[in-house]
Amino acid sequence: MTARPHWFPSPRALRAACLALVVGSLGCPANEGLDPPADSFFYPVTLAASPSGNWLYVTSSDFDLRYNGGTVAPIDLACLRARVEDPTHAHCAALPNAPGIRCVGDRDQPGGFVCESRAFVRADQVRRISPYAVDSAIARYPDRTRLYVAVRGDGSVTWFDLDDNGGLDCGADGPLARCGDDHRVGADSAQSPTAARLPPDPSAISLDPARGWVLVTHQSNDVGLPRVSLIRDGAVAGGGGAPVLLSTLGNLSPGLSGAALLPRAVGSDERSTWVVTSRSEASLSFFQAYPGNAELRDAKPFLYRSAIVGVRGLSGGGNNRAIALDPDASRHRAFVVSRAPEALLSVTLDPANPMAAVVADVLPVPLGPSRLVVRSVAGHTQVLVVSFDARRITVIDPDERRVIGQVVTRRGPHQALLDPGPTQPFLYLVDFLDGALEVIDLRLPVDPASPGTYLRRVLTLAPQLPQE
Amino acid sequence: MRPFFLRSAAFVGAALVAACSTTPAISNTNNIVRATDVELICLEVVGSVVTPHPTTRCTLSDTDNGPGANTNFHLHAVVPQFDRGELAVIDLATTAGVALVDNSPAVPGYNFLPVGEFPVAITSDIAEGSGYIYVASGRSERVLRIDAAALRADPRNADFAAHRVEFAVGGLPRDLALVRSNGRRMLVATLPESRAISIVDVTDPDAPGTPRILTLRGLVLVGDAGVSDAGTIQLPHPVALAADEESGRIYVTDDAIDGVHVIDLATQTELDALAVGERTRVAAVTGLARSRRYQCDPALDADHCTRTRYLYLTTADDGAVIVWDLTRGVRVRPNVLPQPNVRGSRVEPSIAPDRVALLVPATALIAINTSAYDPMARDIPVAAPTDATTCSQGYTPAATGIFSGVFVGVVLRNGQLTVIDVDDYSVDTWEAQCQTGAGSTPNGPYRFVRHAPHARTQLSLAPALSGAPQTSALLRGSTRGQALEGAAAPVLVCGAARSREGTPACNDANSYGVILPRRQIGTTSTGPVYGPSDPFTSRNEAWSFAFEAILPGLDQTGGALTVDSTGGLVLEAPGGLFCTRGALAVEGRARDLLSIVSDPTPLTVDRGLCAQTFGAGTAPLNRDLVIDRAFEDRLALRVGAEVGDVATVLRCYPQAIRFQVRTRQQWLALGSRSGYLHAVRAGAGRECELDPIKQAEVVSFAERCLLDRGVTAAQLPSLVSQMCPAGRACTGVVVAGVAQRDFAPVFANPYLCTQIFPALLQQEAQVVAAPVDRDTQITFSLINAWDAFRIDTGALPVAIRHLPGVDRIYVVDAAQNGLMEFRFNPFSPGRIFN
Repeated sequence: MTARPHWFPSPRALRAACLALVVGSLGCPANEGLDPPADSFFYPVTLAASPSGNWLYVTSSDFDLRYNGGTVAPIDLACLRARVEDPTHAHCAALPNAPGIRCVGDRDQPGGFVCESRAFVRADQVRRISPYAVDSAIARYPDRTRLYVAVRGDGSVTWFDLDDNGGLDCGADGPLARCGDDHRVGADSAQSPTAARLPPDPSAISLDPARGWVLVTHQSNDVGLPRVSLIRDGAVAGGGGAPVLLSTLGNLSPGLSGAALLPRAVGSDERSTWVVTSRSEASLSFFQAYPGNAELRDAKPFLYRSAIVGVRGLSGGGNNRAIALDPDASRHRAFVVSRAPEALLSVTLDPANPMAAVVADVLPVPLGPSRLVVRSVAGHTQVLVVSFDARRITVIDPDERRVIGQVVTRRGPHQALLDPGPTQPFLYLVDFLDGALEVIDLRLPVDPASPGTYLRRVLTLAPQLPQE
Repeated sequence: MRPFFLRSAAFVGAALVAACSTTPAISNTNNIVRATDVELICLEVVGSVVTPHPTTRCTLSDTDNGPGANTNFHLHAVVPQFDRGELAVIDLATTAGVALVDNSPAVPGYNFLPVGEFPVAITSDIAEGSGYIYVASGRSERVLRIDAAALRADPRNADFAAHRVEFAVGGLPRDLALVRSNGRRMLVATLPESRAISIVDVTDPDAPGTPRILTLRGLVLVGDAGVSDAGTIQLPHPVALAADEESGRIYVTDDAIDGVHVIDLATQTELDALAVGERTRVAAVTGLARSRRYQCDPALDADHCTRTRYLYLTTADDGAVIVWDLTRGVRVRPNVLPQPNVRGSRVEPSIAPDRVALLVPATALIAINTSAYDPMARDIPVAAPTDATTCSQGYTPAATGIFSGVFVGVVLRNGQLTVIDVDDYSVDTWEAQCQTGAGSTPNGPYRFVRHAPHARTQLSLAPALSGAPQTSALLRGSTRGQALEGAAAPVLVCGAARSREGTPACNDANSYGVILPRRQIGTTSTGPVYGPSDPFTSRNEAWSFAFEAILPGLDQTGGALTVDSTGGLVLEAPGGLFCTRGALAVEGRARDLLSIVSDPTPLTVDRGLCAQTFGAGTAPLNRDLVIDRAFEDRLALRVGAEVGDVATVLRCYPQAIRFQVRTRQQWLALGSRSGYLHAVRAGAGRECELDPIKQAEVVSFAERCLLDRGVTAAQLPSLVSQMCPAGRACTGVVVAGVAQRDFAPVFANPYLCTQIFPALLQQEAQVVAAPVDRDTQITFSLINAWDAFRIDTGALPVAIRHLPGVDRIYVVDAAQNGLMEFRFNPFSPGRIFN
């Protein structure tokens, strides 16, 4: 064993250390990062349409943290439709200071166009939110319309008051300004009457506007964490109340994912019921929101799991994603996107007996299914399944058990939304990887032998035009 | 040479040998995506010249899957893929490397034949030297025909177009079948949205005929007068086809009406629909087992033995399998034991008797005929048992078994393959693989059983116990302070007697006092022949015997204690279903207990009395009330002296109570799958009574059990008379200080039988039976039972094919596996092509 010599810093090292101390004592330079673009999308994940059908709100997630936040951007839907109908349509007149529309032919989609998104975005109303938004939904209340965005980055449901002109009010004071703390439910326990904070990993939002409920699922697998949250929006009573986080619920199935509000059961009018999928367990959970009963001195609303049923009879069945109900309520049917096996599940629901839910049919779908949209066409139900990995939207007639068609998308198809118009002429799709918004034509051709642009991408809003 | 070098050299050499002697394997390229169907084609491949032949010309070697003697004849599979709109062609006779045919080798990757959007079905028409495949597309009202000789060709070549012909079928096709009738070849397609089928004469390859559209008949609803939908017509919605060339008929399933359409091929007309009573989706017709290799007693059922054929169907609602007897024109009741088994008892209580006892929906069916009369058919060997201890007592492993006869292969939605045979009466050879110790030769063939859940998981193993039964005193619902003094664990009978000095030894490690039903080996057998002649009386499950246990479903809240017209105490519980759930109060047989769980809720003035009488919280008192008479919706109760009178009970329990119904001084037998197999029914006045037929059934099981234990026939009546009601066991008694087998009532059910010895307790000068604590449990598990024969396929199997002669099954997995092969020699999973 040898003795270790004492170490003496060299004069150069001493000078460097002193300099570092001086700089450190002065503090770091202000660095709030790069502001996100106001006129385009970056890793968009979710979209919602205004009840009037005039505006589409696209939420960008800032998935790679390139900027100092995500955004919610209003898109002029009327202008978008007009551009699809008329390729010479040159300007979105409703947008102040909007540039002219610039488009080129879509090389990957004959008959389609790619346009710069900035011509369609109301840039002065774009608002900044925290990164990693995951889902959004819109509710119309007696005297206002609200948009809710679940944000993983700050553990909040950020909410906005909407107006008919694309305006977004989230307590921000200008374009690209960050939403105010009082518009971020769940981020501050002091705002909650039960001192609750929104649990981590929000996954999906489902609303019951008639009761003012906002249900948020959380996909955490951690046994110690709550997995579903209930928010009540005071706006349901009129007068502009704010949403409040009421309760969070734990000891539930792990990996809760998609949620769908069920029709009210006979004799249970005061309770709202949701069915929720899980991506980690072969089960469907049913949750009920109880509004409380003042007459019974039981005025506190709360959320509880009313039932849980297994997803049985499948090889797997433990990785389910989005869920949506059949628009034909008499069918008592829900559709679930399954990742294992990769299939569309048709689930029969008995409104009077949740425990009787059963998987009635299984139809294979292309690789990586994640989202779905259900619509009714001349009384026939159609399901449109978005497959991220396969870059397809598969249109399925579940009653005929037949694939009607497929839409080839760009690289990263994610959430889709039907046009809110009565004929639902288009499907809007955010493309996560390309930062784009795609418009799919759903208008039935007059002559089936000449489908034209039916089930094709007719327009894409991209950050910039592809180079010729 | 140094030892180290020698060892190293030896190691390297061994490694090289191991590496170089590895069996060639099929390489998968994961190019088959979302397959929908499969067709098997025989192609002679000589250089670039490809000639189709009937599949009878192709074989696959049992050793290396090669093409056999004629190396140019290769069996091919043609697989439509809906996501790609292409046909994958697979050379099944490939012994190593990639089996997928790359149709365009000049293009990177594996390239297939484009056939149009969403191909949904495929069929073929191959003669010697020429032939075609037909593909239905989900988006086109035309069927694509491709020359089979071009299946390995490059579709980019200019001359390939000449091998493709499209012709109209008059609607969007769902399923295809090629049938031969009167020397003509007909392509039949279902057109669901046109509510019709299409028949196209494709005999002349140069000019496919004009499609004959046969609009199918709807179903006129019959109802009572005043019913709004009576007389209306349900429109048809044809789905799938099952061709029966022997009878010249096509069966068309329909998922909108409760019938199966029948088309006569000769006249191309629709006959009367089969009233199967269900909406259906998939069908398969079994052929005749011409050689009658199965043992069928013509004296019992001549009609069946000579010409029975079945139509197997899946229901559109829930994917259940139902079976229609085409000979008799009736629906088979496959969940009831067939005619030779006169008991006719149900074997899977959770499933309706007229459905095959599958708990998972079926997605595809295929009929398989191994009848020796058919030159294409071979028996299917199954592996012989290797372990003598797996056979039942007195039996040793014997030769390899054989599957034969006519049966149906089924793929299930959970990714499994199973088999069904609804009419395999010949079950006396089920233990043929385990010979008797006397060396007799029970060399009958194996067969799949008539319905899947009772076919065998392990094809060569006999039922056994997984280990010695475990006894535990749980004291559930009571406290240790209330444990009975001197209580001791009883045992299942092993030896002839038990005394204070000795515990009966179990000589047979497989038995441990539990006797499993034997099967009749045949006339040459010298072993026990008392077993029921059916293979359906064993299943893998855990059994528990619990003393004074709660009857399943009878731990309820909501019963109200009240007084009847005679002043007696009654528990009113309209939803109690006491008889249905097996409660019993019959003098001399069983008299169950009502156990009140709730604490008293009296008025303040009665609190002291009630606490003194019934206790509270963790110290309950006098809560057990003997049931005097049991009814479906109420229980008449006796009030013991320790409680006092009825008024005391009512004062202490004026509100709804939580209660349990327990057996009294009896063991409750509970199977993890079978549940509580009681024989109680609601009789006259809805009073609970023993069903004499079911009880007699249990007695017959008990007789066999006793005979198996060496009891003489003369002793049987007195021993059987001691039996408890079905589903319950009673403890034996002590005679002259010893617990003897002859004084232990027999417990028996279709799956096992046993007797329970009491523990012995020295009480002063006497040896008596030790009392047993409430909720004491004896548990054990049965394994290797004749359980469902099932084998995993893929995550989402959608189609199945069988090729006679080659004796392999091919399953299409729409998920990741593509095409899976199952071999018959022996039955085992084979290669995967994707």
